[in-house]
Amino acid sequence: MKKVFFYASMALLFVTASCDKDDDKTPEPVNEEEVITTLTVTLTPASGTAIVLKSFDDDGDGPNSPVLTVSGSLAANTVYSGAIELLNELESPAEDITEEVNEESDEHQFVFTLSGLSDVVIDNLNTDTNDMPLGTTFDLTTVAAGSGTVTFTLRHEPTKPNDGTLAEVGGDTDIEATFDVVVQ
Amino acid sequence: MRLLKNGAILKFIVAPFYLFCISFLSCFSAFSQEKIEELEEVVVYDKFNKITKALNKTILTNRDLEDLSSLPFGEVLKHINGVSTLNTGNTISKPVIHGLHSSRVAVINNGVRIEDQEWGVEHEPSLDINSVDQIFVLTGADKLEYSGNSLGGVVVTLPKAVRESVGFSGKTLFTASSNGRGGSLASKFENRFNNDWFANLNWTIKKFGDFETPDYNLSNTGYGENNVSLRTGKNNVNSGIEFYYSFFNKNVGILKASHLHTGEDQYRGINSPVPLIISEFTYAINAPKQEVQHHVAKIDFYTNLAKLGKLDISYNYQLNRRFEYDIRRSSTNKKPSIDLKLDTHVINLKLTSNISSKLNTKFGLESKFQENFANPETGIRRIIPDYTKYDLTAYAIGNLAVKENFLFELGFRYDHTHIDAYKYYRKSLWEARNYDELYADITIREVSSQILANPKFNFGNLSFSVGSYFSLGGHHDLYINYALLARNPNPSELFSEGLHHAAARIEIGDLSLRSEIGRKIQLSYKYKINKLQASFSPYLNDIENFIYIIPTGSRATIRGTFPVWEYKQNDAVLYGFDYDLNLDISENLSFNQKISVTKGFEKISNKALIDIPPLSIKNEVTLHVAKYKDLELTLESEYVSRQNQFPDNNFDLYIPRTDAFVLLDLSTPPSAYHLLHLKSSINLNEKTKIGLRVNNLLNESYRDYLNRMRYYADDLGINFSLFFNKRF
Repeated sequence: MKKVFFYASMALLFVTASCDKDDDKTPEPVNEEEVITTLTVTLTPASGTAIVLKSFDDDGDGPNSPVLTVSGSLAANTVYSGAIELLNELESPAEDITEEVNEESDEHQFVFTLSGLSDVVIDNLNTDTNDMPLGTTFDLTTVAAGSGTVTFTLRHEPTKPNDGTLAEVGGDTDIEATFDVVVQ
Repeated sequence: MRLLKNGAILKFIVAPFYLFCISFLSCFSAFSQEKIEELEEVVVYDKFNKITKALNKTILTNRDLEDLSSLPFGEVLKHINGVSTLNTGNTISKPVIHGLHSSRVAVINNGVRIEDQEWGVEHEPSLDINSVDQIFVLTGADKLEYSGNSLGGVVVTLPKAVRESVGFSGKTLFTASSNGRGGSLASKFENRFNNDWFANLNWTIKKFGDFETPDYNLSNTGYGENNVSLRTGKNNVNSGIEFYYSFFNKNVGILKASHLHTGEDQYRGINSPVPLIISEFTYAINAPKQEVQHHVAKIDFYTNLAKLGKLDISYNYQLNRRFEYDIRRSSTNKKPSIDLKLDTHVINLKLTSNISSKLNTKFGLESKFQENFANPETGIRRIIPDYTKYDLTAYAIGNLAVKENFLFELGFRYDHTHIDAYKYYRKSLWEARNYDELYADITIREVSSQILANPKFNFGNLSFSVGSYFSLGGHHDLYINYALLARNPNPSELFSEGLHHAAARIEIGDLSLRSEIGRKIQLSYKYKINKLQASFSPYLNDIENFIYIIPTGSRATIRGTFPVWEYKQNDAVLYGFDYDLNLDISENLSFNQKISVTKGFEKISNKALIDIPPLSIKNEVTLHVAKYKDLELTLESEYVSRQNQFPDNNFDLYIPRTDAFVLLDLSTPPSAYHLLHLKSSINLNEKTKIGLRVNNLLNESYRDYLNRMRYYADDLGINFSLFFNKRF
C-alpha cells in the first residue's frame, strides 16, 4: 500500500516539475498563405501611358480598409489590353498570387461588372485549361466619354461554363475591388 | 482581473499546495494499514445517493441509450427535458442547458472533465455515446465536485459499473439508417477474473454519407467515428485501482453550401431558397470539414480508511487534437486552417466520509495544468493563441439529514486560475483598440506589422451551492437549490481577432473582460401517485457580466465586406421551467409529456439573448405488451415553436460594386415545426432485441432556430433506422 502512495507522490512531483518549466520560447509568427494585399489592374493602350487601378490592403482582414487608387482617366474610343496582378506584399519579396490563380485556372474566374459605363466593353478574356474564360488578361474598349465604376471580382470554384455574370458564375469570392473610372 | 508580469505568485501557490498533498497522502498511508471494518453508514450513504440522484432529475439509462447508439452524443442529450442542442448540421451537436452552452456546460465522463476546445459553437463534446451507461445533469451541490464555472449545468456520464461476479459478458449494438445511408456498430466486452481484476472494452465504428432533406441532398455532411475505450483494474470492498484509456476520433463534413467567403456571399446563401451547392450523394468528406482526436488516460486509486472514509486519488491526461479544413485558394494546399493541440494534466484527491448516519461529506483538491498549442504551419493566423493555464481547486460538500423527510446540502469550491498566453496581434488592431496604451507593458516585440503580446491573467473564484429536499408527506416532494457560480472569460472571448471562416464574420475578443457571475435559484416539485408522476422545475439564473457576441458594424477588406462581431458583457437574466408528466393509462398504455420553456434577456436594454431555445412540447404514447415479446410501440409528437424573442442582429451591408446596401438577415428565426417519430422494438429472446425507429415520419421540411445551418438548408427528412442489440 505504501508503494502506491509513493508512486502517487512521484506523479505529483512529476506534474509539478513539468508545470514549472520556464517559458522562454515564444511562438513563431504565422507565415500567412491566404493573404492577398494588392490587386493591380494595368490597362495598356496601343500607344500612350498605361492606366493603373490598384487596391492595397496592408492588414488583410484587420481594421484598415483597402486603399484604392486610379492613376488617371481612360481615353474615349480606345482599346486597352488589361492585365491583373495579385500580390501578397507581406512577404518579402512579394509573393505573386496571379501565378497560383493561373496554375489552377479552371477553379477561378474574374468577373467584370460595369456601372454607369454602359458602352464600355470587356472581352477577349484569357482562358483556363478547358478553354473557358479566366480573365487575368482581357481587353477593355471605351467608346464615349462618361464616368462610373468597374468592379473586378475573383471567384473561386465557379460554375463553368457561365454567362459571365456573378449570379451564374457562383462560387466564393476571393477578392473584390470597385474603382471609380472616368472616360474622357 | 489583473495582468501580471510573471508567474511568481502562482509558483508561490503551487509549491505549498503540493507539499500539502504529499503530506496528506503520507498520513493516510499510515491509516490504511489498519483493518477496515464494514461501516453501517454505507447504507445511509446509499440512501443519500438515491435521493440525490432522484433530485438530479434526469437520467438517461443504458436502456434509453442503446437504442440511440448511432447518434452523436449531443443528440442523445436532447432526450433530457431542459436540454437542447446547438447544432452545426445534424452531426455536430452541443448541449444547451437552460439556455446556456459551450464553456458554461461541463461534460464529465468517468470522472474526467472533458477538455476539448469547448468554447466554439461548432465544437461538440468529444465523447463516444457507446462508452456511456448513464447520464445525469447535476443541479445540486454535488456539481461543485466537478466544476465551479458551469453556469448552465454539469453533465455527468458514467461507464457501466464493472461486473461483480466472475465471468464474461458483452453486447453488440448495430444500427443501419436510411438517411445518411450508413450506420454504427458498437461492442462492449466485460470480464471479471478470479482475483479481483476486471477489464472492460468498448469500441464503436460509425460511418455515414451525405444526409438529405425531403427535397435535396445536403452535400458534404457525412461523418465517421472510430472510438475505443478500455478500463481495467482491481477492486474489492476496501480498495481498488483502475486504469482507463479512451480514444475518440471523428471526421465530419460541414455542409459545403455554408462555406461562404464574404458578407455578400453569405447574403446570397441566406437568400437562396435552396443551398447554393447541391451535388450527388457521396460518402466522401471534403473540405470544409473537421477532424477531432481525443485521448484520455486515467489512473484512479481508492481505499477505504477506517474512521475517515473513502479516499480517491486520480491522475488523468487528455490530449485533444482539432483540425479544421477550409476551402483554400489553392486546391493543392491540403493543410488544415486550424490545427490545435490541447494537453491537460489533472491530479485530484477526494475524501468521501460518512461522519455519522446523518451526515456525509466530500472534500477534494485538484490541480490542473493545460497547454494549448496552435500550429503555425497552417499558414492562417491562429484563431486561439498558445497559452498555458493552471488551475488549483479545493472543494467541500456536505449532505445532512436533519430529519427523515428533510435533507440539507451545502457545497463550497474555490478555483484559482492563472493563464499565460502568447498572442500575435495585428498592429492595426492593437492600435485601433487602444491596446498600445492600455497594455503597453505586455508587449514583447513587433514582428512584420504584428505585435507579440504576453497577456497573463489571474482569477480567483469562489462558488457555492445550498439546497434542501423536503418530503411533504405522501405524494409531494420539493427540492430547492441556490447556487453562485463564476466563470472566467475563455480564450476565444479574450483573444479572438480576425476572420472566422466558418461563420464568414470577423470576431473580436476583449482583453478587459471580467468573470461572469451566475446566481441561480431552482425549484423542483414532484408529485407522485400510483399511475401519475409529474414534475415541475422552474429556475431563475441572474448573471452578472454575461459575455456574448454581437454585431457592431462591417469592415471593408480587399476580400470584400464582412460583418464584425465583438464580445461584450452585460448583466443578463435567464428563466424558465421544465415540466414532465407520466401517466399509466392502462396496463399496456402510457403517456408522457415534456414541456420546456426558456427565456433570456439583457437586463438594462431588455433585449432578448441570442440562441435561446424556443418553447418545445413533446407528447409520447407508448404501447407495451410484455407477453408479446416485450413489444414496445411509441408514437412521439415533437412541437417546437418559432422563437419570437430574438435580438435583431441584421445588417445593412454595403456593396461597392452596386453602390447599394443589402439586408443581411441573420436574425429572423425559422417557423415553428411539428414532427412525428415512431419507435418500435421487440425482444426476440432474452438476449436479442430488434427495433425500428422512424424519425420525421411525415417527411416535413423544417429549419431549427438553434441549427447554424438553418440559414442555408433545411433539416433532415424522413429517416428509417433499424437497430439490433445482442447481449452475450
